[in-house]
Order: sequence, then C-alpha cells, then structure tokens
Amino acid sequence: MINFVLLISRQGKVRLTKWYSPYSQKERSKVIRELSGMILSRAPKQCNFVEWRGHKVVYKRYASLYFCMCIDQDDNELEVLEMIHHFVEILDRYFGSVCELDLIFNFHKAYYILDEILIAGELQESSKKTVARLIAAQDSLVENAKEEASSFSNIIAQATK
Amino acid sequence: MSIEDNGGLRVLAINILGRFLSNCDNNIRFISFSFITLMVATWIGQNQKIRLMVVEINLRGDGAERLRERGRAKAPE
Repeated sequence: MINFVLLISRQGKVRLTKWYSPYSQKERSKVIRELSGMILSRAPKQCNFVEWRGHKVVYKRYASLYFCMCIDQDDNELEVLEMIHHFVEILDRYFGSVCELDLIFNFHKAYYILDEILIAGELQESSKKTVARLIAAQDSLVENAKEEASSFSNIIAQATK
Repeated sequence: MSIEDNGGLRVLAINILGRFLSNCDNNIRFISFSFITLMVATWIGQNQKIRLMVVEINLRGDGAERLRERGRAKAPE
C-alpha cells in the first residue's frame, strides 16, 4: 500500500501531497522535511529506492520535480516506479508537455488526476484513455457549472436594476 | 510444503541473483541485493563472483548499509 505521495521541486518546495495513512500535521511537516533532505541530496547514479522508518520510499526525478511514493516494506518497488511513470504520462497527456508551472497553477487538476489513479493507496485505474475521458467529463461539468453560475448572476444583476 | 535444497540448488539460486546483480540498472541491482541480504551469510561465501560483486557494491555504498552492518561481505582472500 502507498502511504503517501509527495511532489517536491529541486528547491525543496512541496508541489503536491496526498496522504493515505493517518499523520498529524506535525508529523507531516517532519516527514516532508526529512524526505526532501534525504532525496535531494542523493546522487543521480544512485538507485531510486530509500529505506526510511521501516518503509520504502520510491522516487523519480522528472525535470525539476521529484515524484516520491512511500510504500510498505513488502511492496514491489519496480511496480511503484511504473505507477509514478504512469501518473507522469497522464499529466503529460492532459497538460500537453507538463511542466512545474502547470502543477502550480492547476494543482486542483493534478489532484483530480491523482484521485482517478489512486484510491486509498492502491492503483485503481491502469488505462490512460479512461483517466483522460473521466477528467474531460469532469472539466465539462465544471464548465457547465460556471456557465450556470454566470447566467444566474446575470439574472440577479438584471433583477436588482 | 517444503522444498529440499542442496548445494547445487543454492549455487543456482545465487547465480540467478548474480545475473540481476550484474545488471547496469541500479534499481534492479538494489532489489537483487536486498534478496541476497535475506539469504544466509554462507550462501554469499559459496560463489566468488557474487562475493566480488557484493564487495564492489559495498565500496560504492549504495544501499549496502545493512550488509556492512551485519559484516556479511568480506573481501575475498
């Protein structure tokens, strides 16, 4: 099971966090501080697995972002590396050559995508097409809601004149 | 159900793991390495190639802390 997902930039700033195990706010900040220090200091030639607090942390660097997932001791590390790559590919398809700024300005969409892929720390959807279709449907729902809201506000504005 | 083992099977197992241990990808090396650390210390001593490989990884210091702690990898005489 995946305990948490972290996206950390090269500067050590957290871009996305998702916790699937109960951690207090104090513990979370401590975990982020510890792991970012550990992972950012590792050489590129070293392997993508770190043993930490009885868990295994699998990380992969894409451009200026580190994608980290913490898994149980008996989980398969290579499978989790594939999960990270799967997530990155979906982000890349959705944003069209994704960059760090896309995740900063559209963080809510990154969370939507992550929620489509992982539920309760387990991989739920392995099809990229399915995820893309569901996210597109969600986007159209948001657009419809925005249109309805703007039409309501227009009606109210006209009524109050 | 238990599987009977003998020297030949042990050497075969070590050789199979050695194939992965000599892979150029450090991730695959790490996994085969962690499998080897689960094995008994005598298993490592049975195959010279594996001993050399473990010593080499030990010197590089990538994920070899557990092996160093337990003193399983000693340089071949």
